[in-house]
Parts: sequence; C-alpha cells; structure tokens
Amino acid sequence: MSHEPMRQEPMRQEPMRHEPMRHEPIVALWIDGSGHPVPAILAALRSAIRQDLPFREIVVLADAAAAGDLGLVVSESARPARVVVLPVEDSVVLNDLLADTTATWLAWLDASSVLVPGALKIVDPALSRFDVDLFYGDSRVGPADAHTLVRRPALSPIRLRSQDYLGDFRGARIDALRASGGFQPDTRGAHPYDATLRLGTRVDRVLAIPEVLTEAPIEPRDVVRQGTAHRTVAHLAAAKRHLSALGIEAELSDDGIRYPLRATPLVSIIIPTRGGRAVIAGSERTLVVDAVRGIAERSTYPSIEFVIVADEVMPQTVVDELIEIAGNRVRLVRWTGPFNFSGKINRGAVHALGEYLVLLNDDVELISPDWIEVMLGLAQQPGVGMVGALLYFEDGSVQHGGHMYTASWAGHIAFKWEADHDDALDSLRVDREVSGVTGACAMLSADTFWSVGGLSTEYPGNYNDVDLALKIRATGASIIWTPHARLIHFESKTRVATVDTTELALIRRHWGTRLIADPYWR
Amino acid sequence: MTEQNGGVSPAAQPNSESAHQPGASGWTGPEDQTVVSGRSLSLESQLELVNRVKSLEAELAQVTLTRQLTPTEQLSAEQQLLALRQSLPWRVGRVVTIPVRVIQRAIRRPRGR
Repeated sequence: MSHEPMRQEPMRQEPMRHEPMRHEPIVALWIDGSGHPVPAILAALRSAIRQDLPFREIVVLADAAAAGDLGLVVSESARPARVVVLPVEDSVVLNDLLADTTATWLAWLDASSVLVPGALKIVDPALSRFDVDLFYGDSRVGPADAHTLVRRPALSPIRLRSQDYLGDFRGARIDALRASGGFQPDTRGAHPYDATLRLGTRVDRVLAIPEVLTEAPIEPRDVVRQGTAHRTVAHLAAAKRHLSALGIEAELSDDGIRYPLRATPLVSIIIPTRGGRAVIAGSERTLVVDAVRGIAERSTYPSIEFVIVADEVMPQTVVDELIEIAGNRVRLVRWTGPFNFSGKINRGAVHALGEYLVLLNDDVELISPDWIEVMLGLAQQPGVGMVGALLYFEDGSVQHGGHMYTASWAGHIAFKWEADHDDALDSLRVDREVSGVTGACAMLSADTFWSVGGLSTEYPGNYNDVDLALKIRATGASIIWTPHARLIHFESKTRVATVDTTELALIRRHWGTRLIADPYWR
Repeated sequence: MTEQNGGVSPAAQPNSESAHQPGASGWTGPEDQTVVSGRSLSLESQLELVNRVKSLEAELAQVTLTRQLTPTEQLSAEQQLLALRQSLPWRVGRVVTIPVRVIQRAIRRPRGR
C-alpha cells in the first residue's frame, strides 16, 4: 500500500495584501475531515480561511470523495491551503506532513466544528506570549438560538485518561510533538487525543484559553458528544498505551478506568459522632450504627478499621451495638471538648493505624460496595493527594460532585442536580480533578494528612475541608473526585446555611487568591 | 442528630452540643484511650504546629505573590479583570466618580508644578 498522499498543492502562497502582518504566521491548521460530510468540511475550511489573521498553512485531511469540492474552495481562496487525501493507515502520512511544516504550532480542527470569527486573533498572541506545549479553548455548541457554552477545565491529567475533554480544536507546539514521537500508528481517529496524552502532563506547559474558539451548530441531544470526543477503540488504545508508558496498571472500559490494587493496606475510617438519632425513610435510626453496619456488611474491601471519635454524651447502647457489628475492627476514642469537627478528625487520625484514612460523616449510607477499592486505586496514583466521592441526598438528587471555589466562595458542584442530569462535558460520569472535596467522605494517605497538619482546628464547623484541600494542592498534589464511589448523605436539602463569618473571613484570609476562579469548574 | 463536617453546603452547620439525649448516660468503653494520653495530645499538638506553618505559608503567598501563576491562570485572571471593567457596576462607578477624579486631578496639578 502506498502511503504517499494525493496532494493538491497550494494555489496561492501569498497572504492577502490588505492584511497587515505583525509577524510571520506561526500556526499551521490541519482540518480533520475524515468521516465528515463534505458540507461540514467546507464550512470548517471557510471558517479558517476567513480568519482575521492568516494561518501559516491550512491542510485538509479528507477522504477521496471530498477532495474535488475542497479543491474548488481552496482554489477560490486567497490563503494558502492544500487538501491531503488520507490513505487507511495515516500515521506515516501525518508524520511526513509534520516533518514538512515550517510552522511553530500545529492546530487541529475536527470538521464537526468551525472556528468562530477572530479565533486565531485570540490564539496567536497567547501562543506568542506563553512558553507552553499545548493549547485548547472553549466552544459553543447547539443551534444559534439555544446554544450551550462548553467551558473547559484547566489541564486535568487524570480526567484525560478517561475522557478527551479538549474538544474539536486544540494545538501542539511542533517541536514538542516531534520530540514526543509524532503521530503513532493504530491511532486513526484519536491522533489529537494521543498527542494530548503525551504532551498534557504538566499544568504549566498547557494553556486552556478561556475564550470561545469554535462553534458547532448541532442538535442539543448531541451536545455532550460534541463537548468531548466520542470514545473509540483508538481512544482506548491510546489511553492504554499512555498508562503503560507511565507504568500504571489500569483496567479500561467504556465506563472509565479502574486502578487495580497491588496491595490491600489498612484503611482507617474516622467517624466523628455523638451517637445521635434521626428519622430516615420513616424510621428512627442511630446514624453511626447504621453507617458502620452498612460498611461492615457490604464493603468488599477486606482491610478496614473504624475509628469512632465519640462525645461523652454518646449512649453506652450505641457503643455496644458498634462492637457487636464490627467487633475488634472498632476503635473508640473519646472527645471531651466543645464541638470541633477538625479536632475530632485529628484525634481520630492520631489513633488510626491505617496507611490510608477515610474522613466520614456518621450520616451516610453506602451505595457502591467497592467504594474503598475505587477511591484507594485513585489515591495511590502518583501526584494524587485526596479523593472524594459522589454523594446523593436521600431523594436521589446530587449533594456533592466535588468542590468549586469561585467568587471568594466555596460550594458543591452539581448541588441538587437530578441524578440523570449532567453538564456538556459529562463531568459527573468521569474521574476528574477538582479544587477540593467534601470532608463528609474523603480518602487520603496518612502521610499526606500528617504532612499538611491535618484539619485546622481554626475551622471547627465549616471550611475545614476547603482548607485541607488547598493545603494539599499547595504541595503540588491534586484532588480527584470520582463518580464510581457513591454514597447517600442524609443531609437536609432545606436547611438554611448559617456560615460562621469568622470561619469565612479566615478562609478568605488564608486562601483568598485560590477562591477567586475555579480552574476545574468554570 | 447527625455529626457532620461543616463543609461548604447549606446543610453545613454542626449540631449544637445540646444534642445530648435526655436520659442517656455517658459511655464507659471499651475505648482506645479512656483518658487522652500525653502521647496523643503531643501528636495532636504536632498536627496543630504543622497546620500553623501551612496556614502562615498560605497567608504569605497571598501577600507576597510568591506563588507563580500558570499560563492558564494568568489568562483566566486577565479575562476576569476585563469582565469586571466591562461590567455595568464598574462603568456606572466610573461615571459617578468623575467629579471626584476631576477634582483630585486639579488638586494634584499645582502640586506637581
């Protein structure tokens, strides 16, 4: 099979005279038309040609059927462009093209989207300004009268493993792309994703441009698919190869990635409680007893202990029940001071023997029996500092989808969303980086806990988890939220927030600049 | 009554200590430490100290800007600033304060000469 592409050479090489050139164009644009109808490819091509600034070159990668129509558009254009017809095995062709180009940047546009007017005018100066290897931006999808803005998060390497969230338009610095091995064989349909996995490892080398760069006039039902790349066999293969290169063992499927455990370290579940009761589903229950019973009976992870930090007011009957349920896996620790959630967790951590700690409220009920395996698999990943879970209210709506810190405030992502609701990026279906997670259910290593000083007792009731997350992130570690560990949190949706203003002022004093704009939830 | 982390949600308030149930007597054990030992307090103090250092580091980063922003954070901050300056409250504020700014400029001018 010949790998030599049919090339329609540029019709004109000179840029239009009336456009002032501030500097040489640095961005080459490749439009990926494979599998797209000709009108879509034409629209993408026209959107590129009509930019205020010129691309250094435009290459259209298309099936043979589209070549004629595209050639017509190219011939009518004042901008240099060429059409490349892709053979089945295309990595050799792409690498030839990559070797030929004289541009500094290679931008890749999937023909299901078009560039918005002025997109290059946003991208070009940003690339000239920052020393990065990869860029991507926001997009607008859906019909013009009811479009959805897809705001993409900052680089999220864990999320990237299970979801190509960068969208239809992204770019790579050409020397970095060449150095990372160019285009790989057996990756047709996932070349941009494959390149992104290799180049998207350092947050300071990746630029998420917070501007709309593309639009896709599609039906609303396709918005989610448009926001993220459709996961194909090639995508899975690329992710598998990436993880293998990192030496990470993982099981990949359409549902996401699971990280098998190489060992089963002891996990200490720290539950502060006063042994209180509440009416749930019409019957009165002792919360901590139900929580421990659910975990003891249904959790599949074999190596756990319960560290119950209890107020003196806790009835003896509760102690008896806990011991009856969990036997010698229960460790009881007394709390005698005034209420301080942080202090109680810290005391629990002092008595915990586990290599990993789970901070857990006493008003939870297990949904996923393998919740510890899921969270531990993520917590053991290099660079991960803490892991949170998907929490539901009793009525099935979402209570916690991760934390977001924005406008000097902290809140729950997806708070009160219906269980089947999601955003344009399918964010509630994937493991992803977040700014923080709730202390109602969080796992971290004991080492991490001790290295950051545990929970701050300056926050007895509120924001202790925000402070913990920000302390961990300040060390360079990330916080991961997973939808694959699910619990019910029997919190009332209707209780009125009465945040202690002292705690609010304190968190703003400590972390003010980190609370202005959330990088992962925009 | 629940024992919950305050967290950040509207349901974030811990229950008051008056949640003690009438008629319930305190528990007697068995427990890990009936009386908190010196070792336990010492370890908790260690946590407090490390936390104090981390808090001071965080505060220092706020005022000294030692934390380098990533390119993405820089662009995001600039976009927010732009949005602020284009907002109606900002523009109205600029209009409202025109007389004050004119007077300030007039006062400064002779001083500068």
